[in-house]
Amino acid sequence: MEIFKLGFRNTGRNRKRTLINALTISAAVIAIILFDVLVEGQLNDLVGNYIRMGIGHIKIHKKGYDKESERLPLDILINNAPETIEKISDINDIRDIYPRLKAGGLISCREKQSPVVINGADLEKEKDIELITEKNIEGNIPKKGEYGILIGKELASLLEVKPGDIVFLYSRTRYETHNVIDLEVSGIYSIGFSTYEKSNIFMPIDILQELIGSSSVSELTIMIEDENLVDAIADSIKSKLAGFNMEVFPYHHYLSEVQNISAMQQSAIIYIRFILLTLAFFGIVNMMMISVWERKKEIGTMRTIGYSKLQITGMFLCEGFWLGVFGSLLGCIIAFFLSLILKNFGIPLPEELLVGINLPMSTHIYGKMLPEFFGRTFFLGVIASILATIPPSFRAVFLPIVKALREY
Amino acid sequence: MLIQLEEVKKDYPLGKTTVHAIRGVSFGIEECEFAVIAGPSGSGKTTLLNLMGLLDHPTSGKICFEDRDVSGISESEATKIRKMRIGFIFQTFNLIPVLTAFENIELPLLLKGIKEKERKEKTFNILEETGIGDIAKHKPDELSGGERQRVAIARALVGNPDIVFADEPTANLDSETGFQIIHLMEKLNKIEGVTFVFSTHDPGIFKVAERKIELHDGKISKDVVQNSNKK
Ligand SMILES: Nc1ncnc2c1ncn2[C@@H]1O[C@H](COP(=O)(O)OP(=O)(O)OP(=O)(O)O)[C@@H](O)[C@H]1O
Ligand SMILES: [Mg+2]
Repeated sequence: MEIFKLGFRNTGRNRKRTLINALTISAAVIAIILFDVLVEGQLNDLVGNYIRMGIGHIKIHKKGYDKESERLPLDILINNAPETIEKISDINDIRDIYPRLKAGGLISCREKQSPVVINGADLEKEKDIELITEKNIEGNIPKKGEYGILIGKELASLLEVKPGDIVFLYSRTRYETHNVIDLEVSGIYSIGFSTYEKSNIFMPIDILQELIGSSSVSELTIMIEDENLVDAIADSIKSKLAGFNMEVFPYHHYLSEVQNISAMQQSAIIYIRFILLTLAFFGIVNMMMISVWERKKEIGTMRTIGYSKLQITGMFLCEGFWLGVFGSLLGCIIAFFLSLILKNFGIPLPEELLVGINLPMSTHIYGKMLPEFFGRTFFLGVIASILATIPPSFRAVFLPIVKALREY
Repeated sequence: MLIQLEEVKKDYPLGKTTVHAIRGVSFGIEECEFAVIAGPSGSGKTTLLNLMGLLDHPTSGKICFEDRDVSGISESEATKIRKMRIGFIFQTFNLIPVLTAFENIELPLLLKGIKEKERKEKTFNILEETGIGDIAKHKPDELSGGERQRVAIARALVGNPDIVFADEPTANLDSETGFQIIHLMEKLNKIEGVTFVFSTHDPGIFKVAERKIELHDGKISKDVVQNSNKK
């Protein structure tokens, strides 16, 4: 106990040095937390964009569709969509349910052509899909019953079309034959995700159903109120639809790629944490070495009085503990305010950087704070600080008493 | 006999040569003695006190503490004996700067695990006895040299040691204050019955002691019991 008090008071001896040591820890803590906040924010942004790009929170397919989804099958469709929607509509927290139909096709205009994924949807209703919000569209969103399509900016430049132009759309039908219709380009969307823009076109679901000769849908996309409840809601949908021969997936089922990226980032962050804390560690070791040298006579005195090596080491560790607590606390507080700024204003990503990346990333990274970033980093800061006092304290206790007491 | 030295030698390696700081000394210190080790600078006073205080090991010879051979004991054993039986006073006071006078004095009691009530009581008593009751709450850097040395004496005595070693306790004080300190030590020796061994190179001071051990070049040149010359 006495040792704890002494350790505490010793931090007040050379205020400037203590402050430098504490700030060393603070700096590392701040850097680590901000890093966490940015990486989490970016991941959150990415997942959010994927969700709004059409994955939704939860998807319902006919059983077996997901395994075959690569070939956009037209033989594994939900043919009782209204009934299904009815069945689950009383689940709380479900905000909206959107039926969609997906098919493979070929779009052409004059001599240019390109394979596409045709997305049939009630476009006006799907306000949750970011890419059909007005601000990203040049032209209009085709309404139900209109022979119009929405194509990506990349595709539009490939085909050299603009709103109002007519294009031909070829598709397989439900009966493995082929069909073609001509459609007007109602609008051109851009989301800054070029592969997606190149290959995904949107049209009213009823027109697509006409094209492929079926009134069924590929999927029901569900948006919910609280993202954290996604697994629970998916489970209750599953049980409601027990007799329906359906499969239900929460969004993370479709984001294994994003999850892999996130796992990779996490392991990179561990190294960064380690490096930052090691730097702080050596900074403190260096400063404490000086402190120990200045205090060697006092340490010698304590040993003559009867303090054991262990007790002296304990005193230094306590000093390190307090230093770590001050430094980490300060770091956490500063990091909190900086995170608030990152959360609300974000930092812009350079345009050139985004072009090459095949992910739906926003133009700004906004931070996302999780309480564990602060708790974990605080803990790491204290540990690093305590560890940093071990080498100096060893230097102190392994100095023979007689040498420690000498004036020169 | 409290402490007995037999043919004790202490060498320090110094580069390629060896410094023979103590070249074979033999003497004993009885309980309740008030002894001074006198000698010029470099004669080995500090070295000798360090050996007797179990802060260092002799190169050869034997040191007994109450008939127990302590020449080769382990560090932790020596720490234990110092904690329970020995007090130290230094030329430069060596108080812990972050602690108040009271807390400095209390330190050895804390180390011994003495209960709070008894601890405070003992600390107050020794503060009174050493005449520094009014500076208890001050930190060392707010005290004069004489006051600091009184705090150091109080700290050395608070745990009721059998023997106190003081290495040139007056060397950093003016002669007036120095005498007061020596007289305080003498008083405590008489009242508490604590054995004192202190060193000095000041002829004025070593007249006060009952026993004078003169050291020259690491050897005892004179060991006399003088008449206590009280005024
Ligand atoms: N650790 C050491 N290493 C080398 N030589 C030492 C060491 N300690 C003491 N000495 C030498 O041993 C001799 C005795 O030193 P010591 O400090 O005991 O003398 P002293 O009588 O206390 O002197 P002073 O009055 O200056 O304090 C001196 O020559 C000193 O240089
Ligand atoms: Mg000396």
